[in-house]
Amino acid sequence: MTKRYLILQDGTVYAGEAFGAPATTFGEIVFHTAMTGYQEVITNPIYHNQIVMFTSPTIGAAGINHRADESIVPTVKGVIVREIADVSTNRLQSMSLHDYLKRHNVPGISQIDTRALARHLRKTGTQKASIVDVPDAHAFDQLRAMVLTTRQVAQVSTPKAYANPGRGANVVVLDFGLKNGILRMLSDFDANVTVLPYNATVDEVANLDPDGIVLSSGPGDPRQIPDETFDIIRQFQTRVPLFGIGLGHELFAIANGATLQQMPVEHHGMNHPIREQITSRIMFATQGQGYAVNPDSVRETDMFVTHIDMTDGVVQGLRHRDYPAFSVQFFPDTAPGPFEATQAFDEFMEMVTARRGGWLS
Amino acid sequence: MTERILIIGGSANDFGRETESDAASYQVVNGLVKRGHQIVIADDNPYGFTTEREEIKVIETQLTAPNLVKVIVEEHITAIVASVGGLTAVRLSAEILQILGNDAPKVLGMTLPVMQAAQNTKYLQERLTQLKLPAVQTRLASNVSEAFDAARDFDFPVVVRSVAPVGQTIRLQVEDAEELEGAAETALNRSLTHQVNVDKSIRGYQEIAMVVVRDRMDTTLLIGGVEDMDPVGIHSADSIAITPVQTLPDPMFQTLRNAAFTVARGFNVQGLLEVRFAVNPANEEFVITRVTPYFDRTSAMVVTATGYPLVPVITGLMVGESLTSVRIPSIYADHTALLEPTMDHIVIRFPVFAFGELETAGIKTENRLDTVQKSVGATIGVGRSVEEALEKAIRAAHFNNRNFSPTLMNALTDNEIVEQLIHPRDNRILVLLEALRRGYTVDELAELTKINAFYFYKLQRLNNLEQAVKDNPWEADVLQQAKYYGLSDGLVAKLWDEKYEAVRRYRWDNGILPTYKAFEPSAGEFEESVSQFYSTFESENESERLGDDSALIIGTGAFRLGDGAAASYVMATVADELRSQGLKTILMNNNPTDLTFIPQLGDKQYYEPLEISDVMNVIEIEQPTRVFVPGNRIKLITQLRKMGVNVQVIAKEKYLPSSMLSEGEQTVVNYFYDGVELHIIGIGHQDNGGILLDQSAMTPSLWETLPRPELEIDTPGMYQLIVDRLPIDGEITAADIRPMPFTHIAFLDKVTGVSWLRLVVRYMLGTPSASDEQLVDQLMTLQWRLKTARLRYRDADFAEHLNTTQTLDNGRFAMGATYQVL
Amino acid sequence: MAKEIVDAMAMQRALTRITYEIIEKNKGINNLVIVGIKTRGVFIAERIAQRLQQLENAQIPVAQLDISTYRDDATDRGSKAELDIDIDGKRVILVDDVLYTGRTIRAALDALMDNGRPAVVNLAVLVDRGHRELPIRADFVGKNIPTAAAERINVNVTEIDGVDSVEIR
Repeated sequence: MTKRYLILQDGTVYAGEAFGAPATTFGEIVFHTAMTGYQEVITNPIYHNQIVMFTSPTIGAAGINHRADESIVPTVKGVIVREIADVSTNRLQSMSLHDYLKRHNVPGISQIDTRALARHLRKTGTQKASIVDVPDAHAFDQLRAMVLTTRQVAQVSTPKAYANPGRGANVVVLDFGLKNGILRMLSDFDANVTVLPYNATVDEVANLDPDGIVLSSGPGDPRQIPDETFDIIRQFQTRVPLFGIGLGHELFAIANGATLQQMPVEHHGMNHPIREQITSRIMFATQGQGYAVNPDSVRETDMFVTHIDMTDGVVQGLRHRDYPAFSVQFFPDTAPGPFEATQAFDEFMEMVTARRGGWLS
Repeated sequence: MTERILIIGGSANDFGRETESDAASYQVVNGLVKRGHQIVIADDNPYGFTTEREEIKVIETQLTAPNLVKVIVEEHITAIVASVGGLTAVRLSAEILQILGNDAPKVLGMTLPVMQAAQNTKYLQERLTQLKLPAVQTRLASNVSEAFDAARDFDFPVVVRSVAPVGQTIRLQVEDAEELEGAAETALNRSLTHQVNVDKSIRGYQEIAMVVVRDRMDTTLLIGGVEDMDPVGIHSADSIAITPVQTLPDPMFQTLRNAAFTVARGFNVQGLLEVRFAVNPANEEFVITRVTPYFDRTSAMVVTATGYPLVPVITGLMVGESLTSVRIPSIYADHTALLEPTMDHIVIRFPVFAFGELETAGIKTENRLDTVQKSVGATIGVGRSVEEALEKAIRAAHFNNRNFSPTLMNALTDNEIVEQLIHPRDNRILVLLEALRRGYTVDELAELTKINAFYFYKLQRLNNLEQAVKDNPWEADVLQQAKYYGLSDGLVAKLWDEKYEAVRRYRWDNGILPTYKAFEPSAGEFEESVSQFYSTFESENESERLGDDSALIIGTGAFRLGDGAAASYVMATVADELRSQGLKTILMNNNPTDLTFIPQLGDKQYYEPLEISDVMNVIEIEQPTRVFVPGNRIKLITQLRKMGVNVQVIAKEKYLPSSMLSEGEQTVVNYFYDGVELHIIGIGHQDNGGILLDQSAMTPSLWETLPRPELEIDTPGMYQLIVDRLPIDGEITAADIRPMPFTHIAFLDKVTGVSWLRLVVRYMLGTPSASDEQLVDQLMTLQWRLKTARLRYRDADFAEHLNTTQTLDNGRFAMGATYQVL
Repeated sequence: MAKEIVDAMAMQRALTRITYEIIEKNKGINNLVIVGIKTRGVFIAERIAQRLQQLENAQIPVAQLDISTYRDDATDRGSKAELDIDIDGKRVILVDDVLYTGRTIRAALDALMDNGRPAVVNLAVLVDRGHRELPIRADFVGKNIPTAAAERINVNVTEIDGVDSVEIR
């Protein structure tokens, strides 16, 4: 049993027990309210640079199972829980969460009053935090001096294009921090996928002659994205179906003239009701967002708001009025999360198929 | 449109039916009355709390479909609520629909198919197949070879059942081909049609329940999932149950959530549906085993655990509101109805068995657990870890149960341990702990018991913690960890061989103090003003003192055999009256189905064990002016008084060895005691079948001759004198007067139309009204609401549930009753 | 035996997509009217109108068209089908459940023309099953379902069939 400390930029200190790697870590602290799917969360590239605190009291009971990976390695900077579960490694589980984090040099801290911390963060908003051995003045100095990179996308995106072949429609995915769930969903439709790096050019996309384009989710501030990406969006949305997810949704919004705002309290969980405007259908989906599209700015554009978070009115989906192009802020790939969100992939692939004029079985 | 709504009650309490539906019914009435509907309740349960309400019409009738049809016609009923009367109300509603056909009132939120599916497994399985959901695989076979065909398709183990059996139904669990041949022949020969059903066995599968709601717009919401610790093969009510679901990976969890939605959609449910799954842990295949479209113990647990306003929401959905527009009480944030609850705490339901009580009474039972429910009640433990929740649940359940003595565990031989691991008994959890202590590995135990290894690691931690406490007396760090994981001051005291008070003081001196956390459905994400709390030992406390002039009411905890429902009625009525008298009420209990957890009854509710340390912790925060304790908590009352707490006892009789079994009828004289003198209410009779209250038996001369000895107590209350016959031989002294049993109090309220408990409370507070005093003075001329009524103890199938062979003393053990106007 | 080939969710999505495509193609909803061909075309027309309203917060006129007297196999060809909305100069979306030989649509066009002079007529169908006998093509198709001539396509709508689905038998 090793004591460690979680310290926040605002001076708050929480004492807890170490698990995972015995390293010191810095990052932005966010809290996630999902009760299942911790492995999918900590391997989601959107949490690059972040320390994730789970409000669900026990984390780790399902072990680690590589089918649940959203990227090859964990992407978080640290994990904060109330209780970490011991597991037997059998069946689907290849190892415990503790061993997994240790192997990948990610520290965790348990026995934290996560409810108090969530209530604190709800009031203060996202801030910098660190997991340290000694919560002294030096540790706080280091924490405050630390500058987090704004180049997260460049760090998590694939450096080179690669194929994820299928026998169906030709889909180009722009990788801003692609999670496996998106590829899994496209594979379900047997799409022939080519993944391009975040800094792909208009020509590179055009050369692949896509039937549809997916803008992946990813971490951080959308302003880190090169201008050419917006050209890709504007040029191809007039020609082929285009589907933005998460950061991809934010980029789609910017490309078409909307503006973004940083959220005072981020959304990380899967319990918010989301309304599809056109049908009034309510669904639930996993969310992970620190930025949101300014709904007023959409009115000045050629887009409409298609989905709204009913707890606070945050925009959850957009669609272009004139072109077969749309986007969702939430994660439609259900890794983790409710199944009803996958409808967005059905919509995209049906659009692709309809535009190809093909028979859809 | 104003509807005239019939709420069908659930009749007598029984195995699997505590007061959860009465508690829900109370809130449904609130919601419906607020929307301007008229309510008629048909029920014959003498312990009903909702039926005491003034805004409704109560019809006392035996609950049969023809009787209810009569009520429907006479009362011009336009709609029926079937979801707050257990399976009885669902069955009756289905019968009514079939009798009345097109003329039947609508059953709110429920379709005939879902009512049938709730009652009939075969029908459910057929409908599931239509919905393309996995049903229990079953096949008809007319000879051994066909039985083998089925077994080859399903894989072993299978279950072989005779079709139209000669005599008793048989179910043979078959593990392999050698066994199948004999089993198939036996079962074929026992069948009138020479046919058998071969089912794929789901024994050993993990049991998961999903509680969902759906509205008329087809919006569906998961309220919560519950995981049973024990596998299929042990009745779900007898298993420890945990929420939120701990051991399922997300894709599996989502699959079950989605399947539950598909079922709700397929049956066009508008309201609540609980779908029960059996999941094969080896390959994550699953089947649906049961659908429950009414309030039961699982929905009660989920409501408690999540803080989601399930009953108010369901009430709105039943009358056609949608989840986006449903009106819920103002204490909840606007979006709460539409939020899928997310928990930041663990709730464990722990079954309570009555074998110990029966054995003490000299009654032989069989305490092996199987597919028939054996538990008679349950408690919940709440905490921020599984360890803490489990410790608290065990503590709440077994404040006195001799089967739970650790010395019994030491006496078990290794062979007995193995035998009990495979064939669990009521003290299951202690055997699991003992097996770990004796060095069995987690994986061995998981294999043997089919319980997920996750739980064994938790139990191991508790064992280690106990050992650490034992090895380190007066170590603040160790004490801190012990409290953090839910060990009570009392247990620490025992392990340190010290007095509870000393441990408590040491804890205080070291600043190890409880913190209370709110039950709310957003895990801290939103600001919700909530008045339900549980304790833990962390950094932030969320419960502030309610204020001056508050009353703390201690509930009765888990139901046991006997008067659980009546006791629940009594404490809920006391709380309600205290509130009417202007006190702020703080309720403390740990039985999720109890009436005291109706949100409207308390300004604040604590879901806690009821040991002295738990109660004192709340008293320290709340500083209540008055503390009300049910009279059976003798140890707690003594301890509280020792701590200087002013306790007011809601008296409960100490059970006297009854002569009811042997000697037939006895005469009962009922009294109200105002703190100074006894006032006669009336007389009645009792025997092992029930109670008869008869106002017409009273004459002025009899009234004069009945004894009124002087009592040496100053607390108002309800009292009784039991004699073999009238006139009474010999002199009656105060020693012959005993507190009135809760069952009698509840029944007396129903029959006389006077709420005696409320009167008692007003006298206790010293605030009787002029009309109260007038009533007490003129009891002789009181017009009873029902002149003559009989309460009948329900024959609770003790033989089936508990394998008893003797006749039981019903006055003591009957779990429920019905009553009838004569 | 009937086989469900489009389930309720897919049918909802198809209608949603058609609605978006109508907005795309017409550059908005100005001057739009929707005409549903009896019986199931009417329900589909209403669903589309409802979606347009949810999205654009504007009421789109919907009319029913009974084409029974315009069919080329009809014996009584005298009476005119009455539309209760004005279609002169409007952008008409003609809606039916299944597009097959094209004869129903031809009849519907005749009936439309008897009621006025629309600016544009577009055709939206939930299912296009092929086997055209006339030079008619849908502008908005929910789902292309290749069929054999002997097969039957049934479109079910909740309003009258209690369920949304497309079955083939």
